Amino acid sequence: MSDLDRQIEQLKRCEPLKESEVKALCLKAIEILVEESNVQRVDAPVTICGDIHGQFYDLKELFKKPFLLLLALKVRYPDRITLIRGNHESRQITQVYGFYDECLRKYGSVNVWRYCTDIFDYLSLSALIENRIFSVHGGLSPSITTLDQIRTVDRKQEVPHDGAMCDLLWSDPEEIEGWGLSPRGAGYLFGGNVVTTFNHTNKLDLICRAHQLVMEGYKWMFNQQVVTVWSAPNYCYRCGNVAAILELDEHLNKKFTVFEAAPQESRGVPSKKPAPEYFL
Amino acid sequence: MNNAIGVSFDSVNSTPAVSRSRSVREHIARNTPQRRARKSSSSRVLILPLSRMENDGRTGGEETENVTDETARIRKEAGAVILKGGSGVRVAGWTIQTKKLTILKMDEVERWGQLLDTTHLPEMLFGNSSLELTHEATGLKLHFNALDALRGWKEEGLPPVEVSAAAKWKFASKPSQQVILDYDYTFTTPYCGSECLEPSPHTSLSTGRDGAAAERNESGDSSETLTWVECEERIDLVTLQQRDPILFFDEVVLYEDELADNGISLLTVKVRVMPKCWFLLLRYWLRVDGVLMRLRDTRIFSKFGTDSSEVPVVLRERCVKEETFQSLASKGYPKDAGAYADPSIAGERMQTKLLMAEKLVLRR
Repeated sequence: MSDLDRQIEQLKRCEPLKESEVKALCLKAIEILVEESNVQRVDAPVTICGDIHGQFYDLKELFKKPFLLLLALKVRYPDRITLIRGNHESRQITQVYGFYDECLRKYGSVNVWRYCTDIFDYLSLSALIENRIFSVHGGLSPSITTLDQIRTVDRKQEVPHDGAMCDLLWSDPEEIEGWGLSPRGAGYLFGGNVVTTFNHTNKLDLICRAHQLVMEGYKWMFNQQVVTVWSAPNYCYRCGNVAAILELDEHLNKKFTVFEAAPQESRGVPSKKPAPEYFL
Repeated sequence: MNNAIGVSFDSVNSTPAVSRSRSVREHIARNTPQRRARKSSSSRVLILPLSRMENDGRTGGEETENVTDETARIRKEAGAVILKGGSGVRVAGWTIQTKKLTILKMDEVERWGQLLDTTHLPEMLFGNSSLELTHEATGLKLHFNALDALRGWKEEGLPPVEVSAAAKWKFASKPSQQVILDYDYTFTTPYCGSECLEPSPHTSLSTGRDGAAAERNESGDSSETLTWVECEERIDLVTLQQRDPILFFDEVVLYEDELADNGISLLTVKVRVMPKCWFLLLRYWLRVDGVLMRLRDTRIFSKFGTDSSEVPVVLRERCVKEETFQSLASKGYPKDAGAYADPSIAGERMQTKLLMAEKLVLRR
């Protein structure tokens, strides 16, 4: 058994790798990722997975992989797994939402966090399946009309606060005509006609994206021109939503498979019944 | 004069735990393994093992928990009966029950959109979850639900708060035609609970009707009305600080939104029922990272009387706080969102905008 296979087995059992192993793994991953296009070509059959939000046990249940495991598998089978960047794969967000603290706790230093976040900068921005299905984390950008424009973006950086790269990772579809600006004052919303134009220009059938929680795991919009796929079941361990993955066969026939959360017992955490407290 | 309310609760929050008696500690130690696992974080709390499964709305069988002698004795003394599935308690003429269900499905979200005349709802909307407290003899019912809270959001209709990245966006290139959405995406609500009179005692607790307005119209006796009247009385902190056993405790999230990773908007209600009283806290908490925080607390308290058929005394205290990160920084407080993860702690540094004490009055 190679070192890599052993590490994969170890990660599947939820046992952490040594810091030196993480470093080596990340360096190997960078070698592979740096060669990938911003619009990585993917052949069918393929399975598309959306947000997993590091819910390891659920992921193990449905797909059997969190970030380091995904990365190890990517290094082992570079042509069989395509990882694309999401809005949470940024230094700023991982500091706020737990990944940073988790690395500090498990390894006692920020090195592992640094190796992993360095990887983020090399992750591709999107995938193109059989030239017909465009897969991206958030959605479209008003500064992008063709896939070639995405190909020219310099992605090797922290997710910027605005511009094409930011939009691809952050934007949401919305029932409007044209483009919309979020009431937050930052973040674009794209309407059905924007999608029709984009798909026509780029000879696409479908945009497949993630980024938004849906109770049913997936949601069609705009006459089946956009689909949202959400792959974190029982989000935050209390939403009760199911997760979905989208399977495409060699003829691009679509099949959604939905999953419930992993059983409570397997993750060794107390049930979500809140502990009584003398609050005031 | 009203200042006393906020100050008293704040000071209590930072008071060290009252030392526990030996018998209480032993009681905890005798608890089930899961309970024991939690002991480290809540060792001050006397827990009655309700062995409650997640209440999924199914009508379950009789409760089959293994009750210790101590628990049984405490319950018997208080005259408390735990409801099926552990979803609530019946004590001193009150029935107090929570429902905790999943977020709304797509078709339900659509229906709520029509009801509220909006296409925007919180991303995690626990629309079928609730807390209900019914006084059996009078039919007086207090209930807490997301629909009424969102009616309040629509009515208040605050202008949206710009996130910290918004300033940069103003200078970025924009598409020629652009719709600017201007709803309050923080779902800030003045909601402090719903109340109604059930037509007669012992009517069904969950009739599936939508919200307080409908229920008020349908309530049988129109000559009786419920109103909150400002009062001098205050919630009895002395009683609440006595570490009496908790017969029932639960926390229900009504809605939550992560504001596209710009912070949090969260509406929750938690309740604890003791042998002498019940107490609840409805809390709306908003943190727009680097920009603004809002805390809107509603505390409601009722002490059990000697005669459970009498109209109960229900006191409510509301406290509204708001603070900008800019103003915090000017006072020398930290500006990073991480310093304000806990609303109770954040609240201590926030400016109070409203304090009010009220009593529920039943007019016949």
